[in-house]
Amino acid sequence: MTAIIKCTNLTHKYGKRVIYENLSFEVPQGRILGLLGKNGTGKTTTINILSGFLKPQSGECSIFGHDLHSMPAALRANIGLLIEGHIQYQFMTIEQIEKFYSQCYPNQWKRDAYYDLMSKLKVAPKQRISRMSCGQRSQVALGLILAQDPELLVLDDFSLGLDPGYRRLFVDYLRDYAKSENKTVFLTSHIIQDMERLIDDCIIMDYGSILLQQPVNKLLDQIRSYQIDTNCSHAVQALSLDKDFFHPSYLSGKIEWYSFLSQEAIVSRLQSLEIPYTNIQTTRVNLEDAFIGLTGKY
Amino acid sequence: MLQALFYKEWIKTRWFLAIAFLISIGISIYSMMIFKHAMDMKGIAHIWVMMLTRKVTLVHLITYVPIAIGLCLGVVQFVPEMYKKSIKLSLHLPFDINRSIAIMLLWGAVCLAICFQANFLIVWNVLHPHLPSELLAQSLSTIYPSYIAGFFIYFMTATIVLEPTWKWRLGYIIISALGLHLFLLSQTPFAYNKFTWGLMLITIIITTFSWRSIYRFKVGCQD
Repeated sequence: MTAIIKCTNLTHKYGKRVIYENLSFEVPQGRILGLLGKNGTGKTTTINILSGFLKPQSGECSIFGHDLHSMPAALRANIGLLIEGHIQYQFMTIEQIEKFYSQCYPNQWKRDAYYDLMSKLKVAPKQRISRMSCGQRSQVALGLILAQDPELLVLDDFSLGLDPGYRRLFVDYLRDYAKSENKTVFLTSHIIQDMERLIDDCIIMDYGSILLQQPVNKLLDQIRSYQIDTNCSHAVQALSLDKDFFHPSYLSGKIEWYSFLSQEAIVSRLQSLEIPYTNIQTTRVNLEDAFIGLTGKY
Repeated sequence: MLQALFYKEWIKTRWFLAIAFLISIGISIYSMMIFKHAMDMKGIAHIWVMMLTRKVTLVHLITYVPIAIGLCLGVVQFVPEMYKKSIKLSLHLPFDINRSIAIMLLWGAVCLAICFQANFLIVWNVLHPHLPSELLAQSLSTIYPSYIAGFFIYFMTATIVLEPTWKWRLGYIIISALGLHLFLLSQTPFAYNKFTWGLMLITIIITTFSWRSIYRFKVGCQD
């Protein structure tokens, strides 16, 4: 599959604080890729670099095969950008903003897509965006992106400030649109349950690097949560030294961790580490648990 | 491109422009009413004498109007762009960024020019029938630096608002204050006659500062 976004060896620092070094990833055409990471791991930094609002200290980033900083201006018509907080021009009304953007994208503008979504909102056409709720603003922002009909959508923390209903509406609309039109989507969100409903692939970021990039289905098929009953609390230290055991923790006579290993392999590994236990439980996990399992709670 | 960007600027500034236009015209009319009243009370000969001997200019009320309008227009036009970094939306449009900024500034400059032109025409229309050309020039020579100062402060306000860091914003505020001081050094008739080119040159140079602010925003400069 053709890579729509390609970033190679990105390095960025704020002052002396390294956000990441030599970060490389690709987003293939027609896929919905979610960037997951804790606060401060560089999600918004990455979105800012991709949107052209931040120059990385080193490394290269290209979209549609063009370097971001020498990209022809007209190519931006093919990139839909959702800014964190669903920011849109606050001084415009629903009608004015549609008129404005339709003049910006005259050859591709889909007016009906915008007004179809707006008809679901209980707002007057002449109501200013500044007087709308966050949920209503999110629908305006989404409607504008759908009407722009770009090949690539870059969405920064799309669920910020939305109640469950609006989050669900946003996710369902977006997924339906992206799949039916074969669009490529690169997005971040703090609400990982929403991501699970939406994304095909995920990149999980830790401080300074990428932990993994793979399809969500593959990740959820492989990763497991394990729990053993044991009184040997110091076994946590032994497990922590094994890189196949992610974030083991001891609580009330139980040790819990996450791993890509099968149960047989885990049992064999516990025996070789001479860890006594009485019961082992294996659980399939959802994306949020997998994320916490891989990155830890702290 | 032009149509879309001008439409956006129009939406942002239309109410302010209407008010600024009315205030600008109102103050000009008020100044000229004072002149007419003085003329009726003392006679035009007395006013000529005062203008010749005491360098009375008749238009001192107008001096700060272009500056106030330029400052407010800069705020009204660019603060909404920087509110929650909405400027990212403008910079993401499929237009050349330098040209987009030029169009935004051009809109402001043209609006100011229209406003100042109306202001100037009222003064000229009222004074012209009553004053000889030398005295008319004497009066008008005291207000044109204010008009240039109006453009100066507009471009500086745009630069300050668009600048992403407080350190540089502070620097630009100091430059603005010093620049404004230069424009308002003297209200003596013809005081700036030999330095008009200097005032215009300064204004043209500071126009380019806005692009620098945008460039700094684009590469991610922040406090």
